[in-house]
Formats: sequence, structure tokens, C-alpha cells
Amino acid sequence: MSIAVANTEGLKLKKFLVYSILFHVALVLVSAVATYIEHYQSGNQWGGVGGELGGPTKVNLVSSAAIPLPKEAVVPESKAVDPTKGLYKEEKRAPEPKTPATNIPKFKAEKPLPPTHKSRVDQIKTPPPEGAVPYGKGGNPDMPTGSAPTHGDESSGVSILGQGGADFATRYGWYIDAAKSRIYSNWQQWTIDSGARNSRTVRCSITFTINRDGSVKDVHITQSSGNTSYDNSAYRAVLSSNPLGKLPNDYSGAYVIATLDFNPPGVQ
Amino acid sequence: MPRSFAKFGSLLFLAALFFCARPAAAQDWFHAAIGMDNKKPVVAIADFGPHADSAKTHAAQFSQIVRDDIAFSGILDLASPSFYPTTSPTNPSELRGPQWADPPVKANLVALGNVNETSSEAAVEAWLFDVRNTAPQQVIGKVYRGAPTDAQVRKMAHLFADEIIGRLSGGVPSVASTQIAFISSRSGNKEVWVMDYDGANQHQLTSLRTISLTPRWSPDASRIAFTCYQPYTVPGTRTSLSTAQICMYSMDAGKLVSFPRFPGTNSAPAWSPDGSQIMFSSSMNSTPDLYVMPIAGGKPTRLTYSGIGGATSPAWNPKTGQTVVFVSDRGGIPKLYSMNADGTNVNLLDLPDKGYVIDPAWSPNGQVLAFSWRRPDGNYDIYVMDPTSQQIILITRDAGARNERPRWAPDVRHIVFESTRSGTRQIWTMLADGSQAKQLTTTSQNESPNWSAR
Repeated sequence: MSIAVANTEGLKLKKFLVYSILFHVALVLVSAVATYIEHYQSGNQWGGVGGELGGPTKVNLVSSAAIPLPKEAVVPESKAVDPTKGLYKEEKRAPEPKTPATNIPKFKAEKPLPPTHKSRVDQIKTPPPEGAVPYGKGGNPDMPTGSAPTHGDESSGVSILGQGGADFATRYGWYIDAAKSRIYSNWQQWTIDSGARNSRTVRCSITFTINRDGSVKDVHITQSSGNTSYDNSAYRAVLSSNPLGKLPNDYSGAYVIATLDFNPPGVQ
Repeated sequence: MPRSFAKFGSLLFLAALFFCARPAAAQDWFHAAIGMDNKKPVVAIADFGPHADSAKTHAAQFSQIVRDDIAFSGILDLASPSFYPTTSPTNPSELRGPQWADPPVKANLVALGNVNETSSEAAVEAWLFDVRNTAPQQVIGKVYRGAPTDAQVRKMAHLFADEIIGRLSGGVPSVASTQIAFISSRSGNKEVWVMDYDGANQHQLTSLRTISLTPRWSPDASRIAFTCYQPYTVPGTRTSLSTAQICMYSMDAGKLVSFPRFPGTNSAPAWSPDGSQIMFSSSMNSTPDLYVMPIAGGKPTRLTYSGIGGATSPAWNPKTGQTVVFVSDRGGIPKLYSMNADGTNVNLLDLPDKGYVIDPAWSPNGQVLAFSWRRPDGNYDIYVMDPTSQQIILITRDAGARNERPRWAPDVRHIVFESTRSGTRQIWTMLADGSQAKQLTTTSQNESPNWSAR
């Protein structure tokens, strides 16, 4: 009866063990060094107050005070999967359900317009006090988001954005302004229920992805205003602005994720 | 065995290193707000520096044309040149951001550059910088080369303005290099003329010495279809009559090219959005109705049966290509009707008042319709209608003058039209809200303008 033996005579495993330990240690060291280099070479980019570039362009008044921030935009794509590079295969999205093509609406002057459904704002029995934080909405500050003092005239209104990941807002402020003004010009505010349109606190956020060629995809409402007509008007404004301008030539990414807060019109 | 394992192991290790040591891409994003007072970006165009004595006039010309284009764009404000620093930077190293971003200039972006000229070539280096940050960011950097003539410098200036406006508009095209076709009587007959969008470079295209009307650019701006009077031989006879026909001018060939002729009166050509078909009004089968035929030739297909009312002035929705708006008298006076591109489903576009309604023109994004309306109070004015909301907006407010035949610019912001407000019939442009009206022609009578798509 012979018993299977792992090590036959003459086969020395000690050397392999040594090699193995050495390689493992070296690997750990290299990955630590790489992380260290990458982290400190490209600087602390994640929205730190008074970051590398310093100066007023990066200071965000909203975050430096103890005012609760609006909810961070929910980024739909997994951070672990970068479809542009890396080992991981891009996960295919489920195909969108095919909808039959809708006919172009006909001009029917005789047909009365369908009645708009009552907005939820109108149904509140006692109107909330002016400037109140809507309950359960994460405490929106009653002030416009994303404004920051910049070089030059503050009243120019085209100030540098408060927040941007990996420098996009600082380097490409002009691109963001162009996208904003295009979307703003497509925002058909007459479609908003009058109660919401006159409100000073209604606000929603739309998040979408801009590809290199300017095409817009993955548009969705990340923070609802509580009023459907307001949300829909903002959603349509983004959809009608497709495609936006091409991303800047010296921008290295394949896409950029944009979040726009639609503030009550006329409120500075 | 251990040695080969070591070799293999180290190769494997290096391969693993390669894959793991690459930095993970940071996910770029931005968060902004709109709904505040939306002010337009302010652009300063510095004086372009001549790098040779012979370049002085061209450098000044270049700067001025770019300034005019930026001021015209409707989405940018031009920082007033009277506030600029006394010395202009002519290349990026000379640019001092705060000089331009701070008062009195208060610019968000600065264009600068230089012009170099020899006897055979003019070369312009042009940059656009964002000066709101402490370190100016380059937005555009280009070199333009061409013959050292005024016309070429003008073209280069328009191209640079196109680049600036295109980048800062968020995806809407610029019109700085576009042209306007129109009918002018200044040669004694109504002929087709063409000019730059700003009124420069007006030149005559046709010399038919009859009557030419309604020029319409093809979507790729290579041809102009128009109505002209040409001899038509009735088939089977020797009779030749001069009747209204659809004529075609080729911009590439610089002359008229042949197009089929039909009996009766044929007028008001309209191109399909893809440029493959042409729709026109024809009385080849008694009363005028709309017909469509492929550009390459073939038998026209009849689309409308209007009876005594007739149908003319078709306007094809440029975004969908599915809807056509036209003018018909079938209700007694000219009104606007819409139908599918195959002639089905004709609907009246009813307006809340009486009067002639003519000259429908779709905006390039297919969302708004401009038209002329002569209301019972006697004024001919231009209106814009949003078909989905049925809202109508009056744009021209010139009591006493006739404002007619609106046509859209490809940037959806501007409209070109004819107006008698200066005393004679001339071509004007304005923003789609009626502001910034600008006269383009002054000589003789000019009418029926059409803006090229590129």
C-alpha cells in the first residue's frame, strides 16, 4: 500500500518558498509606492477647501460654513468599474424596452388642452413659512448652490463652480458655462405649474453624462423638487440640449458627469 | 527547475506590476446651478499684433471683424475695446490675466494673437484664454493661413469667430461663415444675389434678365433653387412660352444647372431636410398645388388637392422631415395649413384673429414657426408660433412698415427678413426676440432673403 506523498525525495521546496515570499513582499511594496506617488503627484483633488491651486477660485462658501450641503449626487456608475481602461469588462446595461414610435402631434386648434394635474405644492393646506427647509429633503439651504467668488467682477454671474472633481470645474469653467447657458435657454418655464413657478424654495437636481462628442446620456433626476412639473421641465431642458459641445480637447477623460441644480427662476 | 521557475516567476511578477501600477482614472464630474440671472460670458478681443509692417491693416481688419461677429452672436457680450490695456498681448506669454479679468475690462475670456504677412501668404496665430482663474486656461489655439488679401483675412476672421462662438455656445453652430441669398433689383432686373451674413461681399449670381424669385439654399449650401421665368415648349407643339419654372444654381460650378420644366406656373421650391427631394407649388394640372420630386429627377408626386384655393410656400420641418406647413387660400384668404410630408392629414393652423397669413418658416430645431401676418389693423408683421403650446409672439413692432418673409439662421437665434421701415424694401436681420435689428442692404430694392445652413 503506497501512500501518496507530496514531497518525494530530492525535491526541495524551500527555495520556492523563499522566492514566493520575496515576490509577495516586493509586490506589496511596489503597489504601496505607486499609490503614494500617484496620490501626492496629482495632488489632493477631492474638493478640499483651499486645495493645491489655492486662491478664491476653489473656496466654496457653502461647504466652509456649517450649513448642511445638498445631498451628494448619486453617481450611477460603479466606481470600481472604469469602462475606459483597466482589466474589467464593461458591464452591459440591460437593453431599454423598445417603445413604439410616437406620432408627431397634430395641430388641433379645436381640441382643448388637457387639464394639468394639481401640483403637490398647491395641496399643502398651511403653506410652509418662507425659507423653510422642506421636510425630509436633506435640508436644502435657501441659497443658490455652486456660486463662489472669483477673480474679476462678482456680478458677472458667470462665477466658477463650487465643486468639481479632478479639476474639471477649475480648468474648464468656460465649458460648464456654455453647457449651462444652452440648457437654461431650453428650459421652458411656462410648463411649470404656477404654484411651483412662483415658489422661492423649489429646487431639483438633474445628473447626466456628457460624452467626448458632447452627446448626453443617462439623464435622471437625482433630487426631486417635490413638484412633478418642475422636475419634468428641468429634465426636458437637459434632453433638448443634446448634443452639447464637444468636451475640451486637452481633457483626458472619456466622459464627464454633470449635476445641475435648477434653482427657482429669478432668485439670485 | 528552480532557475526556470525563477525566470518565469519574475516575468509574471513584472507583468503583474505593469497592470497594477497604472493609476486608476479619477472620475471627473462637476456640480453647477442654473436659474440665477443668466448673464452672458464677456469676451475681449485684443488687438491682434502685426508681426510685419505689411500686416498692419490686415491685423486691424481681423480684430474688428472678430469683434463684430462676437457682438452679433447673441450669446456673448463683447467687452468694450475702449477699456482694454494700452499694450495688447500678441502671444500667450504676454497675457496678464488680471489686467483683463478685473475692472474696467471685466472680461471672462480674452482672444489674442498676431498676424504675419509676406507677399504670398498671411498667417494668423490666434488663441482664446479663460482669464477667470489665477492661471489663464487656453481654450483655443489655432493658426490660419491664406493669401494676403482682404477677402481671405475676412474669411479667417470669420472662422476664428466661428470657433469661439461654437465652443462657448454649448453645441449650437455659429453663423459667422454663413451667407444670405436674396433677390435684388439693382441691376435692372430681379436677379439672385448672395452676401456674407453681415452684409459684406454682396455679389450677383444670376443674369437671366427676367424675373427671379424665392431663392432657397440646399441643406449643404451647394446649390440654390429659385423661381425663374424660362421658355417652356408645350410638348407636341412648337409653342414656346416663358413661364415660371424651378431653376437651380450650382455654387460649385458657378452657373445654372438644368432642372426639369413643367407646364403651368412652378414656384416656391423647398428642400427636404436631407436634400434629396424638392417640393414646390405647380399648376401643371390646373390650379396650383404642392408637388414633390427627387432632386435627381423623376416624376413629381402631387400632394395637395386644394381646388380653387391653391397651395404654395411649403415649409418642411427641418428636424423631423415629417411635417410640412404651407399657405392655402382654400378658406377664402391665405392661411397656414400643416400636413404630413406625404400629403395626408391636412390641418388648419388657426390664429386668434383674421388677416392674411403667409411665409411660414420653421426654425432649424423644428420647434418654432415664424410667419408674416397682415392683421385687420393693416400692419404686416412677423410672428413666431410654438405649435405645441399654441403661443404666438409678435416680433417686429414697426407700425406702418411692412415686415415680411422671415427666414431663420442656422443658430436658431437670428432671423433675416425684408422690411420697408427704412423707406425702401431692404434686407434686415434681428434676434429671434425682435431685438438688435440690423440693416444689411441699402441699394435699390432687395427682398426674399434666405440664410444658408453653413
